[in-house]
Amino acid sequence: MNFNLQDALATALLETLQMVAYSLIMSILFGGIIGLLLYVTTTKLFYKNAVFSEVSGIIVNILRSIPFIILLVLLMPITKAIVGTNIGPKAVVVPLTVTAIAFYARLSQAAFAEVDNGVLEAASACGAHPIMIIFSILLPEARVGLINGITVTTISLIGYSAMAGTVGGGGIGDLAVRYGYQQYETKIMLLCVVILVVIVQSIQLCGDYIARKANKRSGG
Amino acid sequence: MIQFENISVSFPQKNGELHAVNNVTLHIGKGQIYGLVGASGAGKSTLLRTINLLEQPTSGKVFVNGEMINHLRGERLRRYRQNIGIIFQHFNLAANKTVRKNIEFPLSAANVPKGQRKKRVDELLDLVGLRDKSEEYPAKLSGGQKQRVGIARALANNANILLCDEATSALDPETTTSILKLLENINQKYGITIIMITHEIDVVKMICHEVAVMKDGSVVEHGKVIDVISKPQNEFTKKLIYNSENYELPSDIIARFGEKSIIKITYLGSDASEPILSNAIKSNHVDISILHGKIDYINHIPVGTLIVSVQGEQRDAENAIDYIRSKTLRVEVGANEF
Ligand SMILES: Nc1ncnc2c1ncn2[C@@H]1O[C@H](COP(=O)(O)OP(=O)(O)O)[C@@H](O)[C@H]1O
Ligand SMILES: [Mg+2]
Repeated sequence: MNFNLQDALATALLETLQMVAYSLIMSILFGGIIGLLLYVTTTKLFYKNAVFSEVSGIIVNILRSIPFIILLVLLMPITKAIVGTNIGPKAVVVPLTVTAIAFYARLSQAAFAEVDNGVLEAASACGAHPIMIIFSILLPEARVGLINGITVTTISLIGYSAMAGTVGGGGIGDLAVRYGYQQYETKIMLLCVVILVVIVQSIQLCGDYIARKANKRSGG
Repeated sequence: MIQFENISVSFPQKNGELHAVNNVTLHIGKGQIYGLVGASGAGKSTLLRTINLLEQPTSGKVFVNGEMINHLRGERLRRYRQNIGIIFQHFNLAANKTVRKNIEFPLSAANVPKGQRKKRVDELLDLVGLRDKSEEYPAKLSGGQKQRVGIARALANNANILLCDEATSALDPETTTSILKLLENINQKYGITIIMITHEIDVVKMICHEVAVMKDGSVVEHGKVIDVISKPQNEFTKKLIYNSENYELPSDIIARFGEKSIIKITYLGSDASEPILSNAIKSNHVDISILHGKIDYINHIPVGTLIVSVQGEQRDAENAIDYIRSKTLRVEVGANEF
């Protein structure tokens, strides 16, 4: 076998980073907005709308219940239309983003729902506009939950991106599967696993640290 | 000031409707501290929350300062709410805002310019005595301090009505007293009308001028606190008041004097200038033994309760009791009756 392990690792790391970073940003943005919409349309204090929240809830659930690997295949035509190809890291970003948006939508909705209703009611009783309550009370009060959701989403994205090997997606997971598993290079596979574990651990630690810093509830 | 006209509020339920408030008509005068008491689930909070439309009446009208407010929506409702403060049992402060930011929030909501906001927050901090806590987060404050922040927030936009929903129920007795003093002070200083929900009769006695008693969604009795407390007309009100007072005498005492000879006298402090008991003894050939006594202050008026046994011929005893009754607020006969 003739390949430079260091180069391969560096390329794979970069690919993972790109895939995860891109879909993470999209999922925080769009997933967060969808989560917010799901929440405000179920709450009397904001914009209760049973039809909207039911319908969008069902769509999100459908996306969430399709296994990632199947979504990857199902979305191929759309992927091709958006990024012009069906394979490689660029192509994987599309299904990855769709999954992550649905995932983070639910997590952020839960984070919003956990905010003490009494606090929102007090703000409403002050005569504040709902938009102001959202930005000035709801978002800050939900931020620990939102941060924890980002941590979980990031870690899941790394897991999903490792599945990207099936479409030649690249990244650390792909490297582990192609060289480690299919070509019996156990050393490479183990190395990849160790790297993944270290990355996931670091993200969890970072996320927990930021969440702790953001939490004023316990006087931190 | 505040006028409820046939207010009903019902909530849809699985099997029919829950009538939380049932056809309440009530007037609350300007500058009053008005108590709202009753058992849990009586509909007190629901009625109170129709004043700032956190709860929309199913039927009936609410007038505030002569204006019917039921139909207010959108921007007009928000403007209206800026004049009505509310404080809660669990304070409902934003945990991720400092004391200053919590108090500033309603000012921002009312578009008060930034320069004026700081000055106003400082005034409010002084009013509630929290100047040195302005940069703390609520988690670092005691319950009493949190409620002070709640009060400052509620009054930020110069509210003329303050709604208090069990505002002292999560506080210890000492802190309760200090918060009640603050509320009374605010009422006197600014003439703000205060409506206080409480399940503690002692809170009503301490600061309320008038009181309404609610049961199962209806107001069963209302009036001046001194009248309602000293001469409750409704059975439920009696129970509510007597449950908070404990006049259970030891059974051997009751046996020794005789149940029927024991009476409970309720009198105003001003009655005490006449030697009523000694007159009753002299003119009726009876003996009177004092078994229990105490003085309450209802809205700063001393109200005494005395439990005595009247010993003598039946006719004499009855005459003595009639005499005492004519000179005091209320007399109840028979130890088992109270
Ligand atoms: N938003 C609501 N939805 C359904 N039922 C409610 C709601 N708010 C209050 N209730 C019911 O209305 C009744 C009166 O409640 P409430 O006004 O909170 O009583 P109180 O404050 O006197 O304890 C209770 O039976 C309560 O369960
Ligand atoms: Mg209540």
